[in-house]
Amino acid sequence: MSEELLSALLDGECTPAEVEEVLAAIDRSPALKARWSRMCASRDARAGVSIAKPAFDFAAGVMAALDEAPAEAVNPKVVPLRPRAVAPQPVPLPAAAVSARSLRWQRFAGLAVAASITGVVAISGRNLLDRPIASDSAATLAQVTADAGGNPDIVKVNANGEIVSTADQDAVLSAQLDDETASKLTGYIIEHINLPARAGMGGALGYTRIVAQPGSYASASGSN
Amino acid sequence: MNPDITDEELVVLAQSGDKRAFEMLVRKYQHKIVQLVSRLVGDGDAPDVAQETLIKAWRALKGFQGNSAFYTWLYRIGINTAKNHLVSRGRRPSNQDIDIADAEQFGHTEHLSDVDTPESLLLSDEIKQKVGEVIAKLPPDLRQAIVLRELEGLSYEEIAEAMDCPIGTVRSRIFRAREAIDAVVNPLMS
Repeated sequence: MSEELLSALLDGECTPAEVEEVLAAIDRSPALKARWSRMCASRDARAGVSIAKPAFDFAAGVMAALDEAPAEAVNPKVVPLRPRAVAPQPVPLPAAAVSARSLRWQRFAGLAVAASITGVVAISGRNLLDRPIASDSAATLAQVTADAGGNPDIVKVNANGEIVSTADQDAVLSAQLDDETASKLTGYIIEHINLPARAGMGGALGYTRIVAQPGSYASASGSN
Repeated sequence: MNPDITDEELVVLAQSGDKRAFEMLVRKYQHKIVQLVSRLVGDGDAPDVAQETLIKAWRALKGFQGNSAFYTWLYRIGINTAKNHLVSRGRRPSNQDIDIADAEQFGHTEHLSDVDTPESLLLSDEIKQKVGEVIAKLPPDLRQAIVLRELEGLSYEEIAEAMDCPIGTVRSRIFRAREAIDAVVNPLMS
């Protein structure tokens, strides 16, 4: 029966169930495989195809080569497409929310730069004053009062890195320094800001100038 | 139904990873592919290139859309593989491009066989002759069935109508005719 089905398969006259039956039978029978090969060769010969007398089982060689390289059996270029897992898309934020979020990050960036400048000022001030600064004494604390001109992105911090005010708050703290120290500190900060410009750090300079506007240090007597 | 239906069924199974189905296709087309690539690379390298062609076909099978006949698709792979083989050997591929239309006609034209070895030509001619002799000696009902199928290309249903018999009888008669043919082809191929 299998051989008759094999003949029918050659003519495309098998049902899918019969095709499966033939494949199962041919898988068990090398003789049936050889019979299929001869049927095909016979048809080819009558159609004018040259038939080489097989020195070996060519088809078996091909199948053995496929078995030897199972990892390469599937071409990654032709992997069947599967529906891509759809990750939940974030709901687009309204422009105002995006802007607010952006501003929030800008505040942190400004905070980082301002903290570093304040640290430099505090250390320098300590040296200039040549006396220890009591961290709990507001009188000895150099306050960077970045004149933000109302810029809400500027956050002012003290030497301990604590946020003392934001620019949108109206209060501007005054440093309790003597005139000479306040003047030196102001000069130092200006020099510090200009240093990157001389070093050719144009981008850093611009950013530094934005987040740290010219410092204004008020002396204890009220003059800069 | 027609032989392309066979290919379609086997291709669908092979695309799902059924190597048995692919082996059926390999056995069906091995001679055509070997002959095709031998035209480009010569007989010495033809078996290797043909094997490479069929391995590539297996790897690319899932991408086969069925827009053309399976053999036409296989034919293209064979041509490309043979040309790549020539380039890798530092040889220039032949300017004689084989038109894709040849894929359907391949084997039917005399000029395509001009590089066949005398041995393969001899075997092909011998098979053709023996098969003709066997068919001529078949009982009339078997002969009519196999001729209508092989030479006229009728489907089983059309043959049944022409011979006024059930399709199952047609199938049986064609099978018996092929058994008789195989009896003479087998010694030649062994």
